[in-house]
Amino acid sequence: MFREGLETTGMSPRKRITDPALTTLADLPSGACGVVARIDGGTAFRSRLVALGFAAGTELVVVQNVGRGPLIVSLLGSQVALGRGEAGKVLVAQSAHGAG
Amino acid sequence: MAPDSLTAAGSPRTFTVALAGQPNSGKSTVFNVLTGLDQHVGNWPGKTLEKREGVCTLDGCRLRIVDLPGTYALSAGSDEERLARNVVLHDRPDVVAVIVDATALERSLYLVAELLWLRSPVVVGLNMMDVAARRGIRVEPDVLETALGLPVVPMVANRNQGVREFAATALAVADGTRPCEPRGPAVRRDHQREHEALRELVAGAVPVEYPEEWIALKLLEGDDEITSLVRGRVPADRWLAIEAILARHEDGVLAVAGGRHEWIGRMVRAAIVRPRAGQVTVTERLDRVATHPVWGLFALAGLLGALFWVTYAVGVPLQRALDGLIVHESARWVRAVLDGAPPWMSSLVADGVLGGAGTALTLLPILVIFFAAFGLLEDSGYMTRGAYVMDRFMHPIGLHGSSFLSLCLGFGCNVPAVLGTRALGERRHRVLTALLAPLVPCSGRMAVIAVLAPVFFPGHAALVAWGLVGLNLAILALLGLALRRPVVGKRQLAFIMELPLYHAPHPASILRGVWRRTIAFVRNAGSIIVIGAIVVWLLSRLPGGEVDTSYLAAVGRAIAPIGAWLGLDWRMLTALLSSFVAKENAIATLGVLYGAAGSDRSLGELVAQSMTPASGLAMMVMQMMFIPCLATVATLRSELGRWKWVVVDLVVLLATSFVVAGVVYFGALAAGLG
Repeated sequence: MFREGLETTGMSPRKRITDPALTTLADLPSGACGVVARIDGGTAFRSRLVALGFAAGTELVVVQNVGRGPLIVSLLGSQVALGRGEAGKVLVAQSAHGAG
Repeated sequence: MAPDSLTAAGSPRTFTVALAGQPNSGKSTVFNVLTGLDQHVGNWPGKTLEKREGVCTLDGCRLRIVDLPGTYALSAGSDEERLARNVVLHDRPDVVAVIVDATALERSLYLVAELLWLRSPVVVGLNMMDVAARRGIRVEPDVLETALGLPVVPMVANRNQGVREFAATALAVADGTRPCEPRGPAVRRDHQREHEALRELVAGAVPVEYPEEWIALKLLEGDDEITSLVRGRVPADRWLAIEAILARHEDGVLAVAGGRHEWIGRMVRAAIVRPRAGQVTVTERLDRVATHPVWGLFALAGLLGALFWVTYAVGVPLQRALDGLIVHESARWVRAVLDGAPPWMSSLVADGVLGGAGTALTLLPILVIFFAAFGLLEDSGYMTRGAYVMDRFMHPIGLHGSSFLSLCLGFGCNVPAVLGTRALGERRHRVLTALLAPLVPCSGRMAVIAVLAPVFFPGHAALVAWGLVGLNLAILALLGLALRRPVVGKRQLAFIMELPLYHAPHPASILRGVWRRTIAFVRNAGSIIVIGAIVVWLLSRLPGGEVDTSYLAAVGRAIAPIGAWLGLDWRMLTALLSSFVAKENAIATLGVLYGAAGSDRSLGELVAQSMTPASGLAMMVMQMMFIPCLATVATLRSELGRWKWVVVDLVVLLATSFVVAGVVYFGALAAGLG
């Protein structure tokens, strides 16, 4: 039982509950600001993102989000390119001073 | 490792310094400044990761500097990260010197936060102070030092400012004269109880070199390596208790990371002053074009076009000059020197070694120029933008933007392209990229095309050459579509890549890159090419001394029916076979088989007379897609670790080259090129 719980880390139904105040990073338009709330996905994927600064509470700015291509996000003084699929797993709260 | 005590002979004390840092932090520059030419590059035992080690002498002490792979963190997510933390844990360096980027201080300190749990003394090098200042970011090293409880040395590594001071500080910490009392991060408050409970559960069960609180932390993070280590060592009842905790806290990775980020926030709060938002930097201005979905593609095409133009405009005349010098002049010299020796000996050296291996050597100028131009784009920070704009086109074939960089390197030589896949991290992704790399036409193959295309298509040679390159890339895409499922599976690979700031390229680091890649070609290909050239020479002389009656000719004739339907005779097939040694050998072999040296006509004329343009085109297509050279095959084998995928790749490439050559041949016949 427990073993199963371990192997599906990050995939439990609890994670899928959507919070109306949150949107995915992929849905933020170019120029919008947000604050990271949560990251879904496997442990390895989440580790990679948190190492680049995608931790709960980090402010970020979407530098570019066009069409179906990858996004560019600016956070903690650096710019990170992120595939659209990956950006869809980062949940953010859009901050008040977002430029839209 | 404990410092060696002063021996009777008075040899200097040696300390081990592990040099850590995130990618793009300038760590390599620091390493190069400190060790100069006194460095050794090899592989980590049992790994395909490059190990660089060097020695720096300071105040009568020897600092053995071990360059850890550049990583953002120390999770189990990639080979580099596992290696970096294992070196610190198992080799116990006297000090860990970590380079942080002043322009991205918060992100850089994440690695420091990870390192502090490993209990080795840490020194921080605050690099790129100049770039930070230009961007209006003010960092106070003293304030940071007080907050961290670690020595912090400001530096501008690429201008050699502060690097000696950094090394001296590392030495002072290593020999204990300078205290190091870090105020390390804690686990976020809401998970502290779990962390403590885990620590108690693993207490006494893990090897002593692993700090227990670090093990507990990694369990909480869901680290596979540590999880299986603990599972194999704790009693069953304790393991159940551990699993129970972990199952309730599957978001542990975020809590642990959150704790690190909170700590970072406290550390930098007083130490950094940021500019007001709204300032447009050079990087942002350049990126408006470079990362634009449309203009970015034009920029990439333009830059790559310039890259190829420079490579061939400057490289080809040099190659021709070298060809005259090495292959012809020195062959004549060898014959003169070996005048008294048996004729087979001077022929072996002049025709075999110089004619075969020498031809490969003449490619060096093209390679060096290509790697220099590529290095310029890479070092300035542009290449990651190229990867970014190419990302959407790489997804359908199972790859993403980062693979584009490795593949691009293949235009110079496939060997560094396959080696370059090391940077891709995820294994399946590496395998797929490496398997596709041989379809990127290398300079060796382009050299053959440069000879053959004008023979069959005078006046349109450039057009034909571009067409052949395009065809290869199209086949690469199709093969990617086909191999995607079996190699990568259904999963989409994550594309996450830092876009570093643009900066003026550093000639020294470009030169080092050129050296590293050229050496990879020479080392991996060199001996194989010399031996291969001798074998081909032997086969073309034995048993009777005449090419026409040689073993090589016999082999060529035996397989002649394979090429007959394309109008290729045994000489073309033999040339194709010899290109397995080195692509550019095809020309030398044709020269021997057509007896160009003894004829008053050129090789081109002789070849053009022997076959139709349609067959010539088929030959060129085949040559471009045929199995890669021996050096590439050997590199594929060593990088992928197993023969399975290499063999599949070779079979697929062989079949593809025949099928596509056939289609092109009959197409050309229909178009009236017979």
